[in-house]
Amino acid sequence: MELWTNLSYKINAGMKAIITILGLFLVGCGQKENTAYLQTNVISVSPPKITTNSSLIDSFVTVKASLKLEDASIYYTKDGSMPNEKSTLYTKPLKIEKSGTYSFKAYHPDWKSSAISMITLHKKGIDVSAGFSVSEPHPKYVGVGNLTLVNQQKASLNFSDKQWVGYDTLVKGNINLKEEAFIKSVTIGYLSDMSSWIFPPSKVSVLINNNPSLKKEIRLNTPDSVSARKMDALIIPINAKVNTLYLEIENRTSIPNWHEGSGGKAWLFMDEWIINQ
Amino acid sequence: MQRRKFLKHTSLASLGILACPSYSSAFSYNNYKDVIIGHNSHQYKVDLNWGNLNPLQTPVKDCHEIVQDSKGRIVLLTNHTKNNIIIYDKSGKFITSWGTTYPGGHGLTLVKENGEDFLLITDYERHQVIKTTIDGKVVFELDYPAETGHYENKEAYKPTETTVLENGDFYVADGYGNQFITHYNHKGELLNSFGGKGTEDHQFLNAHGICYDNRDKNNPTLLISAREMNVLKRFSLDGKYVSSIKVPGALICRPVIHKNDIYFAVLKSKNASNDDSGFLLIMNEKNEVVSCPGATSPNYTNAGLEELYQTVRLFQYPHDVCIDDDENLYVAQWNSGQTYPIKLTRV
Repeated sequence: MELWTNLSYKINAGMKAIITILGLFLVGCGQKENTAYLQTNVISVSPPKITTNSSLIDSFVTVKASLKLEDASIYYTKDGSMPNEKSTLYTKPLKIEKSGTYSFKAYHPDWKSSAISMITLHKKGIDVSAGFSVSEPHPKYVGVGNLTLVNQQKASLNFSDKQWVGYDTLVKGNINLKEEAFIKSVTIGYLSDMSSWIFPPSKVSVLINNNPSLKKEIRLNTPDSVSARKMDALIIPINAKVNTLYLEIENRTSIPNWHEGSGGKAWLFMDEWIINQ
Repeated sequence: MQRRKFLKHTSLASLGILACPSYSSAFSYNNYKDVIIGHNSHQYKVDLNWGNLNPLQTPVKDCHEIVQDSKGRIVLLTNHTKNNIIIYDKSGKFITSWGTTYPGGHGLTLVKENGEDFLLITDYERHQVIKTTIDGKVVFELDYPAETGHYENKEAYKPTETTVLENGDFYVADGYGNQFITHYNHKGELLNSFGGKGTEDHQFLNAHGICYDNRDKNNPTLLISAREMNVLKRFSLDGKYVSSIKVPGALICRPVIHKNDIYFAVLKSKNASNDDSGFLLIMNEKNEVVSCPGATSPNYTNAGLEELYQTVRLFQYPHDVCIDDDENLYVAQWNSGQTYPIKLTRV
């Protein structure tokens, strides 16, 4: 009686407490009972699942985030920052017109918050399919044909998606524009799925108009641990009037030693080269 | 009256708390709620401590499969060759272990013959099926079925699972090899071979598990998982394709029939951003998914079952599930950092 009056809980909160206390009594004091069940807020919810009708923006794309779990809420940001419970609450699919990185995070009263799911959306580039050629991919991962890399379609997270083109060698590609045009940048879309031995490229170089003084080169750092599977992209600034582009993209030829494939060659999977005006 | 009774319990409980110093400050109830996973008729509490042993003495690598023997003991198969078989009681207490010669120990099936327990072990590194007594004496070793003409050499045969009929006939699923199902009599003599790699109805991509379905006594059949295809296929006992049950998004390992339900460990979700995205799946007597512990609630629309996916990061790569005589589950996991099985207690 006294205990009750000392506690300021509401009735059903009190009930919860009693049940819990009884449970603890059994678990904590019963010497032979070793069962302690998993408690709330120890394990995380899964990151929200992100789907889009396209990840290349023509006018707009629709982005849907879902985690079909009762009482879960999803918060998101549109500026590349990390979402938290003060970010915007996701209530319906987003209509997105601007390229950028969109990040989503799930929260639940009984589970720890999720890891962040991110999607980066790009504007559609110019159509270069008429003057495009690229070295032969690995015969197992040829995509949907010779033009897969410039067919203005992105792949999904699943490496068996037919929009992925897989290489285990240096990739060489030529782009001849129909007429000279000012090109702002080239975006190389790739898959990072290191548990499947698919790594980001180690180096990308672009030779503009066959002019050695107009060569752009980007080297990527060696990854130091397995990160979540993700679709990523490298943007190489061009900012020049262009007739031709010659690209070389190197797969990682020696997998870092923390990985089970240490020393071997990594796969390089690309879905799209975007030529941005 | 009700309330008064209640309060009495409260004070008793709190006395208990006081007598038990480690929990004396445990009044914050929110932090101590048991998690419940699963849906509808099949919901569970989770015991992550079950079966944990000293890894220096009794290590595991991948925990591949797990069954309950006639004595009610829980028998685990791991590919760690210090102790391929670990036997527990239901509370998770270690009883015994044996086995040092099964580097690719993968499939584990209990066979009851004249009141005696035997085990059928598939080993994909030895390219063999091995029958042993429950305490590890080898009864026979069966090599690859060369006489079927489906195999050029033993390396093409990587058996993952077996299932046994009442008459002692058994079937071997070659889920990591050429994807044939081989049918033998109880002596290990070849009777039939069917399936093979491919996407047609009678073929498989990753025929990972097989089980004898005699829930319909008049029409017993075989259930075979095509894990890569997210499909469970039904075949007649003489190897004719009957039908398919789709489980979108779920890479199902072997089917395990317990009473009228079918249980599966799902290695991973097809389209999750994290690869270690497994969960469990339970079908009722009509082969409808009724519960997915660790994943989305199953939902049927006109288009069929909606895609299933992991919702909480509890399981990593669950590889097999065993249902004991108390309806509780034991989950063996592949590639989960050499961890011991997880027990789920039905609520």
